[in-house]
Amino acid sequence: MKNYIIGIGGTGAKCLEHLLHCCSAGLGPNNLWAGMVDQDEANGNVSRTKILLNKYINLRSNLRNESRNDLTKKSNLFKTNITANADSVWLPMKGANPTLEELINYNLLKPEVKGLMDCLYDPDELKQNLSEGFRARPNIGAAAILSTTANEDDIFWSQIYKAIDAARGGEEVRVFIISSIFGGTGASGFPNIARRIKQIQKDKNVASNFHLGGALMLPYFNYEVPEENMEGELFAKPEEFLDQTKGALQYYSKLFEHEPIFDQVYVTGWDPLTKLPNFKMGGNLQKNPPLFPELYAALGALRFFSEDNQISDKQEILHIGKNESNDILWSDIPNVSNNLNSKKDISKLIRFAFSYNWMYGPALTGGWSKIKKYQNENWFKRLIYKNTYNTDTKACEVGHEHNQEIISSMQEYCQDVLTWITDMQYSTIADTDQKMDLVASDFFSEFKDKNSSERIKIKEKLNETEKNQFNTLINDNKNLKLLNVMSNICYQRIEKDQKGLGVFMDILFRSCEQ
Amino acid sequence: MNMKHILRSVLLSAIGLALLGWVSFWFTTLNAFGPDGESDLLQWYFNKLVQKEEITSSGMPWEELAVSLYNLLAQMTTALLSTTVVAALLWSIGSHFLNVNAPGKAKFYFIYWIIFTGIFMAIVVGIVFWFTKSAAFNAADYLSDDGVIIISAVSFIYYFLVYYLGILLGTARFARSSILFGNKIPVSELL
Repeated sequence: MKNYIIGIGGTGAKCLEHLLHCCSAGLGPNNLWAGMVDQDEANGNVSRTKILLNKYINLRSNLRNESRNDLTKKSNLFKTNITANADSVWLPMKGANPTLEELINYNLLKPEVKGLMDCLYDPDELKQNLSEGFRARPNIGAAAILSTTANEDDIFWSQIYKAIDAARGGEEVRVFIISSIFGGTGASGFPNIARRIKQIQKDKNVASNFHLGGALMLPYFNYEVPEENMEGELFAKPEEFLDQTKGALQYYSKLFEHEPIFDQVYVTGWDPLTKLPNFKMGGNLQKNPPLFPELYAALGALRFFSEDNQISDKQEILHIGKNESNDILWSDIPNVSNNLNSKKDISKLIRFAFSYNWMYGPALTGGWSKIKKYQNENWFKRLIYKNTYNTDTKACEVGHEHNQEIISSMQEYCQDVLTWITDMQYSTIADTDQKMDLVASDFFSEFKDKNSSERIKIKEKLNETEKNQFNTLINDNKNLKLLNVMSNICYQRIEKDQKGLGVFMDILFRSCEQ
Repeated sequence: MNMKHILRSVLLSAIGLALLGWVSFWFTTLNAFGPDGESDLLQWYFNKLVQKEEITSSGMPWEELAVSLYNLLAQMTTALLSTTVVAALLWSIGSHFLNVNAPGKAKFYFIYWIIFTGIFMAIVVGIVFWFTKSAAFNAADYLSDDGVIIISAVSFIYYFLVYYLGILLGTARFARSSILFGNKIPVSELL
């Protein structure tokens, strides 16, 4: 089975961030192609996901290398083989500072068409520099996306063509699109890209094996727009989100009735809306925190890709949102399938990230002269020394550059996981009556809600009391201590085909499950 | 704590104890059956452990005293072996609860092991002292100074070795650096 996911706009990119972490926890399918669509290429949300995607792909390829470091196929750590184009973001409009006026060659239009364009767009909208996205104007986004060509030569669309060709060849193919229903890029991209994919499917006469799914995010956040210096600017106005959503839902209601383009649609919303601490119109400063509803969209995508998900001919619309209580608990996180327990796997990843970041990563970092002090310990002899020993040089190569690169990349990734879950927990409930108790993060992180560039600061070192709070890290009534993790790594069975650092990484990951 | 790992430790510890402990068991059984005519062991006891002159001058029949000496040694070795088994199993189980929560931390628990072993050895000395000075056994009054030294030294060394083998194999893998030469045990899925 081939799976494809496309995150449209800032929200789509943020949902992909959640999905990537879920895939590293083992909740994803075996393979997945991931792409993003955003006119605002420099957008902080998009670039964060782009960086994370590259980290995932690199780390996975380093740890799933059959000749050197291999986690083996059985391992759930970085289970999903995610691929992406060299540039994972597709810009509907190319060029340095594109405007709608240039895109439609406004000055060359016949007077009657010009008149029609004047009815549809304000002069400001026609002249607006779109290098930072469609500024919550789906009418601009729709025109921009529809004006682009979707031919096989385009690196982004070629993947869709390949997917449809694979379906024609008899392989099961699933494509999933995530975006927000409000805003600019997502709202305009979601229906137009989906319809274009369906059109290609129709043109290629593919009637079976191809399934299209989507996740629509209803409003789940807002922000305060500063009054100064905003005159004449086009930007997403939070007070318009609900009206936009109402209109969009009416549109989708009609669309799904007359043209059921999707096999499954997952709709997610949140009430009360999360208040984002700062407003940025776009660009690299727009780095919104990961929020809990986005995790629902990511899990919806993973459910869609799950082999247990039997897709029927009838269009299905599934929805999820906050429960009546203001407490957000692990039990609010749905499972991907009967065999994939989201809570179990995500909490295992968080425990792994914690123990690797503060316990094992630092012990394995540096040259042999620093690391060798652990050479007599059972876990080291069993999992590291034996598996990084070079029989030619008669030396343990854990301190060598190629291994150190993996060790430090994993530490960086673990910090990303801890930042992700901490930021999501703090930011989702900030300035609301809600309470989120998924992880106890106060003892290892600091939250600065006024500082957008670094909202979360993960402590560099923990003292003994803080380390001993590991058993309370996940609020799941289990009592897994760091001592248990240490015990587990000394006894967990090493799989036959595991190699190099893959042995340690997989065993530590498995050891973080109670 | 994973019970499977603890049971594994108990089993390995039992194997370690049995490697040398069978000698004590055999010796206890031998003594429990009492003196057997003119056996070499009886002769060795007479030559090495007791005050020959004192026995002769007191008119106490050696055969009668030998029964008491056999009884003393049987009960003493039973007490020593039981203490050794209990101590080794206690450490093996307890090692799973040492808070070795990070790399390099196991060696800090060496002091725990030294204290535990010190207490065990003190109990061994106490047991030997109690039996060799006890009024409950006639034979205790006729033990020579050399005999007491031999009994004490052999018990001290032998039961330490039995205990050491028990804990060497039984200590939790992650806590092996907390015992003397524990980290020299080769990596094996069996150990």
